[in-house]
Amino acid sequence: MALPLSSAVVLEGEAGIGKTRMLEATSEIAALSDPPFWVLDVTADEELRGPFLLFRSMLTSPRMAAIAKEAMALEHLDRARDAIGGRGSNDQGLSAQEQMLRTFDEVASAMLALTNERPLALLFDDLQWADEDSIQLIRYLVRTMSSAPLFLLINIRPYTDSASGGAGKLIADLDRMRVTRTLRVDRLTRLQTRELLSNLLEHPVDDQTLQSLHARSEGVPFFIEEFARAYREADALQLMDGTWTMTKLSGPTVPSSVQSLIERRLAQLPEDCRSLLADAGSLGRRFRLSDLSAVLADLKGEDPVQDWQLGEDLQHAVDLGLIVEQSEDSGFDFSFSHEQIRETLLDSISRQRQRAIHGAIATKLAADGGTENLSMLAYHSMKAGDSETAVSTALEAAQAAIGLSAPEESIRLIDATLPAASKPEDRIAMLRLKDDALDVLDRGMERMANLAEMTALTGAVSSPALEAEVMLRRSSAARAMEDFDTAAGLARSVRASASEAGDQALELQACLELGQGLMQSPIGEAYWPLIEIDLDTAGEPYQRALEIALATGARSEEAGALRELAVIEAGRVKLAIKAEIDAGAKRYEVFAAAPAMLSKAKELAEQSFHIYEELGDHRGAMSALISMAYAHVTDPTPRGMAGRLEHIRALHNSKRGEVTDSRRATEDALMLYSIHMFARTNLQPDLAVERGRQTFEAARAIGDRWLECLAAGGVAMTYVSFGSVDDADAWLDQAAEAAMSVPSTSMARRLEMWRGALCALRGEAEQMTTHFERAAEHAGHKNLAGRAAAYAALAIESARLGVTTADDALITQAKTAATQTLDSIRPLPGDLPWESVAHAALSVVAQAEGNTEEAAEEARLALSIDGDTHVPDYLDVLWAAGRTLIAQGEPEADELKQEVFGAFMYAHMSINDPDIKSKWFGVPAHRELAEMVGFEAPETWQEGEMDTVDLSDDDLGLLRELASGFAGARRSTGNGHGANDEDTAALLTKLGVESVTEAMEFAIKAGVTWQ
Amino acid sequence: MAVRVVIDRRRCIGAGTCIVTAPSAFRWRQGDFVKPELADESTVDEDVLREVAAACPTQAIVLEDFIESMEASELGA
Repeated sequence: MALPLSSAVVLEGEAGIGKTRMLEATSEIAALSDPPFWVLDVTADEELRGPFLLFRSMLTSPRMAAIAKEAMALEHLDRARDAIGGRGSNDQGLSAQEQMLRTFDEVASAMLALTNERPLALLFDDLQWADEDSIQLIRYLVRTMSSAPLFLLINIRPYTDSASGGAGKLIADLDRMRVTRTLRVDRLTRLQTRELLSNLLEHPVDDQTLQSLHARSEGVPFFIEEFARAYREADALQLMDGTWTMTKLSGPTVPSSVQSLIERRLAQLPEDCRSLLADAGSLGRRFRLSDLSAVLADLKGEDPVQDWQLGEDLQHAVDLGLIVEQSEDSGFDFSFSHEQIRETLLDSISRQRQRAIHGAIATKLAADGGTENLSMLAYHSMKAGDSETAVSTALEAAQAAIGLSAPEESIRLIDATLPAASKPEDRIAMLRLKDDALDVLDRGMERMANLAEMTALTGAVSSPALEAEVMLRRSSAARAMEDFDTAAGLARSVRASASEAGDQALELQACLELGQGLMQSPIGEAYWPLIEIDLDTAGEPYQRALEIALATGARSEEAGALRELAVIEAGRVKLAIKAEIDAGAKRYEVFAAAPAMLSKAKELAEQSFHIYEELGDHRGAMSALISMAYAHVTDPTPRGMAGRLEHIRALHNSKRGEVTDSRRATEDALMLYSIHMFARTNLQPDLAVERGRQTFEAARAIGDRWLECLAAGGVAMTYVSFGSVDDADAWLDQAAEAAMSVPSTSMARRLEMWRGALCALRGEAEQMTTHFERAAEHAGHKNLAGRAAAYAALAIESARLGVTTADDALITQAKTAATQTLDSIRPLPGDLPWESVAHAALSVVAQAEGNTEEAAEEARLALSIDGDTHVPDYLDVLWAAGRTLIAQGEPEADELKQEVFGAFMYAHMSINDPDIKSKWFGVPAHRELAEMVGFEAPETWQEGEMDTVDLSDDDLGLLRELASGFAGARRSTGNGHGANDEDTAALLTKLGVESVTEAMEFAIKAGVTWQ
Repeated sequence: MAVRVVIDRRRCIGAGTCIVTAPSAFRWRQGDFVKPELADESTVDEDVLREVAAACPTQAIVLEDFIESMEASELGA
């Protein structure tokens, strides 16, 4: 424990947050440190107060006696005990103040005597309840023992429920004296709750259990522990195949320990305040004083009390941290700090009173009107026993919630009010809405359960139409559960009945549902059909749906069918292309021919798009738009993908006449940023720089400094990726300047990461370490991903610098950072690149230490990375793995060589700018790897070499497009230069080549590639 | 206040920038055609999720504000 002389740490946090555990841990660490501390801990009592009670408890404890004996300070201890107990012969004639000072001196002398032997740690728990004399004595000890090895740990709650408030003043004084550091202990995140539960229960918990325990405890560790224990004791948890799983949906009641903790806090409230708070609790977790005032006036039949008066009446509850003030813009005045507090209060008032309060607030909400109050009105009407209002309002609110893309809120509303719906038609309406909401959430299993109840109700109302509707809904739910045969079977059955009965509207719906079942995808979601889909079979019901829609004027259904038929048509082209390539045709020649093949798909998609636009269905229009972009076949590389993104952007902008300029500017800035990000992470640094700069300008124009900072940082990191130090430095300064306007921990962390990367490039090991460590510090223990990213960067860069400069300290640092990375990612889900990067660093470390076997093993672990997704990290992994597996001649060496060779060929093809390309291949790690696998970039022609071919600007444009496989897309939308097959043939003749592939090679040699 | 992440699969074109930017929050959805799914969005801070949303080329990542433990109590669920 490396601490300066006389220092203090304050742990601030609410009840149950874990301060006492941290104090106990500190005690253990202090006792075991070298040299060990004398450790004295004491807890202030909530109920008992008296002069020097805290220090009396400490000085008279057996541990104090034992320590004093070992430190040969028994005489000092006796004098201190006498003084604090008001005994001793020296007090006569002293004023009260002098007597107090003498007491302070004696205790300080005793403590000093202890520090002669060892450093002393004084640990105070719950200082908010300490007596004033003891608090003064702590202040005195800090002032008079400043040069002694004294460490204080003070636990305190953040709100002022101390009788004197002296504890708070002491903390403020210590802060001013600059001897203290305050650490705020926050509630646990869901991830941390999962980890705590795994430790407590010795096995992991499933998601549902985690959700339940985290929601009920709200991340307060004491509550988590107690709830977990209560769940186990109530057999609400079952260990299934090594994982704790909830067996009861509701879980047990609140444990008595939790109840007792809350009751003790509530007991400190004056009765009037407690009663008022309980009434407020009926209004909800958050409440407005104006609502409370109106409700009380209604109940009492009196004039409303002023809001400020109620606020003052609740001040005690604020002081105790039971409720917290809400921000001005939240629309509420207060919120209960924990749901269990509200529930405990509600238990203390009669059911009749609660109903009366709910009735009064429902009346007020109904009078206020407005859709934003509907869910509250439904809830309060339900609680007030007014089922009719509750049901009708819930239906309206649930419908509005779906319209606002809040399906979960819709489901909660229906679940809460469904028990109150007694009429079958009400229940059917509610179940229908719930099915709609579950459909949006893609929860097929829950849909089936919900629809089972709806099926049962069809008998009660005897409606064939309802029966058919439920069958189609079941078909849709089965599709969501990927039971496509059942889905198609149900839809076919409805279609047959509808056709027989001549019900065209129903047949249309059944055909659309059948099409989705056969395509295995909802309308608007698929861009390419899956390879195993029978396109003719899937197309038939959509074709029939189109006929009916055209005949009946069902425009939305017509658009949907057209869009899906476009996708099916594009799928047919895809299969044809695949067949040609399988038969040996050259890829780019086939792609060049694709636009003509895709004309029908394009026409269908455009028809769909125009109908959606007419209907004002932007989501449908977007889905048709993107399917059009997807229909344009380009090469399957990320460069081709970037081309598609650019294309979508162009379409998006050209088709949106109704969007305001400012909205368009914002969306354009975001689109530029997305292309920058895509290019940056897919080895297209030239495009990344260009789009990053454009994003920066666009963000600046719309005043979005956050995006400006991200763009500048992104450009800087792109420059780092090809070793351009000065440019990177300049852009980092731009990023830092923008970051000043949008300060946040995240932004600070990003800046440190960026600075660290630049320092690594410069070879400035010390600064690099500082920046990455600061980044990890900013991430803290909550943002484990940010922490892992920082440590992974530190690990690989330390390893790289360590081996190039033969610096053992850096090698050791790399090892430590890699271990920290692996520790950080342990609880994280997903396929994490940092794990591979850490293993890559460990591989380099092991090799540097001469452990070739371990180095190879770590390299193999590193190669598990998803290289297609995490390209920059993949390059780090290849570098490390190359140094071991290739250099050591391991069995995988040849395969890895091919992998590296392929990556470098890809980089060569991807980077168009010759200067950037040259710099990229000149980065030491890339150079080292290229030499290792014998990669030599194909030579490009020197200036003047292509002058023998006379090309116009249009020719160059077409050549550039051919080089990217992008020509088809441009031609088929009419946004290009009007190029067609004749233009292409003429160009090939001019170039003296016979195929598009040869034209591509020409373009690469000539440095004419798409940007 | 926290944010809930919604992936609009109708808009998603599988560019993968969400997974590159926040690999612990997003992952490839098994059995789908290059579509992401949520791994655990609580593993990154809100600002990173905002960056993910900004970096999505079709704006298919939507962030919704919500209050984690409050909804259930207010709606009586």
